[in-house]
Amino acid sequence: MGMQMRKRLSKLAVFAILMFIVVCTFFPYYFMLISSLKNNSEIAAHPFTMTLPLRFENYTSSYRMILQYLKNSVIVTGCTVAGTSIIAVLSAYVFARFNFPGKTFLYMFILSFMMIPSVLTLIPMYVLVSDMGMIGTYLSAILPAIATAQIQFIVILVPYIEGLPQDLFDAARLDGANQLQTFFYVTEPLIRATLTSQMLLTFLNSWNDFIWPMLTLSSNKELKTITLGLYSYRDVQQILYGPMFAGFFMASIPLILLFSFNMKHFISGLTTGAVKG
Amino acid sequence: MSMIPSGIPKKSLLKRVYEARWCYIALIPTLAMLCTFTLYPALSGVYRSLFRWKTKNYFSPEFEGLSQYIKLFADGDFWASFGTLVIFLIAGFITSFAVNLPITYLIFRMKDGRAGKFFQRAFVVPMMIPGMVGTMYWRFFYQHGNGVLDTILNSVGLGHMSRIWLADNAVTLPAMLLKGFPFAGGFTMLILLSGLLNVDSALEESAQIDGASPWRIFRSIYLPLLVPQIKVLSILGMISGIQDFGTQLVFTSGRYGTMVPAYYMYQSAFINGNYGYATAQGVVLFSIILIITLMQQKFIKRAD
Repeated sequence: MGMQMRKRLSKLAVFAILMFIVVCTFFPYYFMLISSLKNNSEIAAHPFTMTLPLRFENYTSSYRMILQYLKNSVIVTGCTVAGTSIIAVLSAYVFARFNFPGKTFLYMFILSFMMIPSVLTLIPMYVLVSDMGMIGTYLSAILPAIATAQIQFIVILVPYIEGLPQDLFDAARLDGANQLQTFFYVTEPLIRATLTSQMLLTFLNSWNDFIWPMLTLSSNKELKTITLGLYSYRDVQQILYGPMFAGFFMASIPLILLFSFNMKHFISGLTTGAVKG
Repeated sequence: MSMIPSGIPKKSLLKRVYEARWCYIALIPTLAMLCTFTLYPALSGVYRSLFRWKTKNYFSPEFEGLSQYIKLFADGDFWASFGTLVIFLIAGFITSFAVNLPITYLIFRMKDGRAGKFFQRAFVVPMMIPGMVGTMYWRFFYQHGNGVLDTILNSVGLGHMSRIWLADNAVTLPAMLLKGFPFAGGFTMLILLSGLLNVDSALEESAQIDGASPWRIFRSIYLPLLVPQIKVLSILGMISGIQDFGTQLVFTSGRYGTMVPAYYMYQSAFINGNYGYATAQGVVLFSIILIITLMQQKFIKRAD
């Protein structure tokens, strides 16, 4: 009996500790959400509780601007993720399924790019992109991001595709499937979890990118991404906090939606041995 | 050669290359992107660091050999920013593991029960919030007068302790290190969890039969087996920590003792217009990251 009690108590303690950390983690989001429905004097007088009336006008006053930022982010991030996935999957599939002269050399060549940090290329890349006349266009944010993101994508996918049983591919060939069909009907379903988690990571990196879009896009006010838009709240004098927090909340919606639909794939893709030594 | 049956003549290299032509064609996009947007900038960065190259002679840089590097090694501000960077890196290491190791283990021990699933998902949520929202929230948190921290201090009668948190040499750096409290969840937790899930459960069962306590099981079984994940996360954290300066840019513009080398480089180029000097700093930072990566690979090979 005593043993049972102790077990139950320790379980309760663990739950309480974790719950406390969850509450601390979520406090900022709670604070931003309730503050987004107040005006400045209500935030000052009752900072941690809800106040009435709910000031939904905070949302209507900033949604047009936020929508423009979100549109830009969706274009930049969407193209980055699509471009990265297509060329990285193509390369990974070739490296994993075919033998050809120079394969090892080419693979090592691509791997060696992991050694080149963005801090080395930041300034010359800016100069290059500006010499190409791309500053202030979506392309200046998209193309360099694809070039960088594809490496990790390839590195994760190659061993994964190599590990798929050869019998499956033989069976597909016997059934008369061409390479494209083999990829979409045999390979893709089997690598879907890893593929999804890599796509989501690429999405996250691109969505949250700050320095590079600031260098390349902020000269064109129409093209500001959501990160740059949120950053510009820093400069506003005499700030209205309600609309600012409403903007923060609206800015979070796309990522929250995307993750809620893919959470299972994301967690399983990352937890089934993505990192080993 | 004797392995090849005599009936099948070995194909010439050219023929094999020709037969595999679709493989090479499929690799063109990857290679073209890498060469244009990574290899060329990297090489030109190293090359341009040997030039006197500023905004005013942007189109006609003058070759100067190693003089940018000589100037850099004598630049006290640049090296002082390394001290700050080391503090950021160590604090980042401590905060991410001190919280995430224990909570990940506790969640792992809940197995796939309802509570375990709930916490697993709850701690992924911070990844779904745009990084800039977090950064801007913490900037407001520390805002003098009406920020969250001062509001809390006032409400518990400690209002006199309030400082201008983000513009004070004594408190700005510690305040920035505590940004993100309680540092729980996200990518770190998922990778640690994946490590725990890969441990053979028979190990734990036999330890339980021997009467080992949960703490003992953690220390003697799980912690040693988590070393690869901890290593990878620390190296990734270190490499991205050296290059990141978004928080410094938003919080302080590098003032009040928060300047880090990558930001110093950024300012040399885009504020002071001294591109040659900035690329030299980029080369130095690259060399440091390269040394860390090589050391880590040697380290891991030895451990295997």
